Amino acid sequence: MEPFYLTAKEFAQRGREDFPKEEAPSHALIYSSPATLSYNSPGANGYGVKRAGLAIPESVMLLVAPGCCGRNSTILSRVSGYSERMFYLLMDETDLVTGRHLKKIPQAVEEILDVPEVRPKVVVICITCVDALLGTDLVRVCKKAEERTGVHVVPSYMYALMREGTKPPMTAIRQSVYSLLRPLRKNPHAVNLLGQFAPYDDDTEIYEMFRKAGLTKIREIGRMKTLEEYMEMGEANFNLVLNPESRYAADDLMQRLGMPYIEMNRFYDIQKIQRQYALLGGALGVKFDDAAYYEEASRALEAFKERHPKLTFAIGQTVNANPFELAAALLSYGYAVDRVFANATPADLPFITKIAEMSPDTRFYTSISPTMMNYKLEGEVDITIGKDAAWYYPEAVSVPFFSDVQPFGYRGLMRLLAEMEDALRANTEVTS
Amino acid sequence: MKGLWKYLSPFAPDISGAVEVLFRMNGLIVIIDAGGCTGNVCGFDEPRWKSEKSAIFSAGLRDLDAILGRDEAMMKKIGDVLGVMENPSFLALVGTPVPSVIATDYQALRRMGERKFGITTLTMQTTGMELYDKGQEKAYLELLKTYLGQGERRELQSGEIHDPAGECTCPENEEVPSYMQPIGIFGATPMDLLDFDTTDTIKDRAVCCGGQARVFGESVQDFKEAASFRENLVISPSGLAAASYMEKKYGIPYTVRYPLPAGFELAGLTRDEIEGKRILIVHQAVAAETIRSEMEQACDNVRVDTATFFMPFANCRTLPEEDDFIELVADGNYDIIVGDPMLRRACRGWSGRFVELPQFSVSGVEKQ
Repeated sequence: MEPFYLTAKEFAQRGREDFPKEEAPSHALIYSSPATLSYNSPGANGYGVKRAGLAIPESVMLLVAPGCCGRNSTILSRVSGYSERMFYLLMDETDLVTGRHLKKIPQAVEEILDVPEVRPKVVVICITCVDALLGTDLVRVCKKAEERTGVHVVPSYMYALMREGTKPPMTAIRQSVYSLLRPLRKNPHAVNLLGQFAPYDDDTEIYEMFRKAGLTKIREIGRMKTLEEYMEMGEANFNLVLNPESRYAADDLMQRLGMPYIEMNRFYDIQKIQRQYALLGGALGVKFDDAAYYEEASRALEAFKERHPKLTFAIGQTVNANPFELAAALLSYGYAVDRVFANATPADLPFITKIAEMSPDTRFYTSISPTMMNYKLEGEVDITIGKDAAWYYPEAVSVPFFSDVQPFGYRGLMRLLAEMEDALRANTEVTS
Repeated sequence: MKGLWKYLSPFAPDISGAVEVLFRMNGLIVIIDAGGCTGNVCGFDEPRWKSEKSAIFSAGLRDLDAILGRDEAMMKKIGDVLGVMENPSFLALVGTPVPSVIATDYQALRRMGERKFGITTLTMQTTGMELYDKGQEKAYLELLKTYLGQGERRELQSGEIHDPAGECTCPENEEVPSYMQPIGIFGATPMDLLDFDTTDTIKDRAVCCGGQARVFGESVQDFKEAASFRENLVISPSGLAAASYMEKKYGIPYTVRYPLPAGFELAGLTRDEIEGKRILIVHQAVAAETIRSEMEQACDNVRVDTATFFMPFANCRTLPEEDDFIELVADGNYDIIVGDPMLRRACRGWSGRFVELPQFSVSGVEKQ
């Protein structure tokens, strides 16, 4: 059987009313091919739930779960350097029946506080699917642990069973990591960037443009070194949501702290970047002077196109980008996009429609479809973006474009161009 | 505190152990989870996943599937996948913590699978709360009980001795010498093997005087023919129950030893280095005990203890908890500890020599 795919034209024609059920992971058995492992698990590479929970400065995590839920931490925590901040309270079958593991948590918190050389100020408790089914009230347990130890104890949830619910794990953890913020006197010069767990690139224009517009206190959790610094995020005049998965956290902060928010998307289409800054300026009542950044990025784009006038791309899901937006942007720059390997949601339809207009035959595959077991390499692409796409085209030039520190805006586009240039040049050197 | 791990992180669970045994046998393996357990198995515990193809799937359970016990819905998804596979050997349903909580009826699942699809259906009642060796033990026994039926022991006839690729290796119409009857090997998965070993090298060393060695887990055919093997070799405690079952039911003897490669009998140490020393070896129990025995034969005045976080064997001490290891190190007065590099973290305050002997089921160190 041929792997399931839709062409851009077919996908766009089906629209929201007939959105393909194959795009929902729970529709079929999930194929965890090596291509999908970086995103198809709540605890996978990059920032999964556990690592994300540790974004709170001076925190440690206690995972309360069956051993299998913590197995990936054995490897990932070592590779990513957070193994000394992870602790485990492993459940057995009696715990499942009696719920006695919950009674042990306050004492466990007390014991782990003595292990690190510097006493942690926050303990994040993470529970998993079994406690979701048991209906565990973790907030109450955390309060008890807090009373016993005097440190902040934060509940968090790695509920893989709820991946397609209203509050999937990566949305829930974003709410958890901001849950310690308390109302402070509003500072009109302060803004929080809510999006990722690591910071955005230092040279992202957003910092400089905001400062020029009077927003001098730009905070994001990935740059907060101490709990004290993190708590200062409570003085923000508003939050800027740079990733839709942070919307729930922003709603929570609006409700609890009266902190409004504005959303921005990450684009690689230079016209969209420019338009978005204009809209943001309008909403804030300021004018962002982005002309120099626009010019700089335009020059970089033109230079790249001059050096590489004809390229065919395959794009994966493990990228610092929305793969559909990225595909549409590359097509608008005159390149060909042959394949996109990613799970679409209805929110991606505007990009898919745009792709269909420029390249109706571009194929969209969902990597986790069982039919992908039969995927055979066909056709050729020059360059892949995303390490999952590279798995399908091992011979093509590979640009992983997947890092903890995040690209954004004009400088994000320039970083993408630079990484593509480096990879193409390295390939030329090898083959010549 | 029981269950609290402060320095070490979780070891490979029973789910991964069961899947490792099933991995190469061309079955449809469905892990009954939401996706995370399968991600762990494929991404971290199965080093062959990146280079070999196997049909491992997550059931993709969601909260309502679990709460309402929608087995029919899962079976429908399974039917869809069976439709795109070419002659799978079996359907294996592997348990996780979720089916444990909702008390899934595995017998009913097996019957549904067999009735609905007409395919041999195996169920692994793993929970994610036990360790890999328990999962392997369950998988071996399930496979043997499923494929052996009620037959008695018989010798393989000429034309029946096949290599794993299915080629006949014994001419027809000729008497099969007894040494040609295969040796079966239990417990040879990446989890059990020493870091530098593979099943191929184990097979070579297991049969030094001719004949065949079959590693259980490479072909369904081996389980079907297991009653005809002349002997079984157990290289990890995960295979002990299966070997014992074969001995009791079919009279097939077994030995327990890890066929160490030349030069590695002393865990990479020299005779001078272990002379007069007090040593602790922590690994899977059969490997640890084999190395201990070699060390004691090499030196009269070496004192070697063995310990394991997994199933026990012989004099190997079991360490159910991290605290048990910490206590053993603190009280043992050891000069040398041989074990997985991750164990160093739990050796605080101990100042002897640590010799690394990686164990995939502990640290998941990628094989070279």
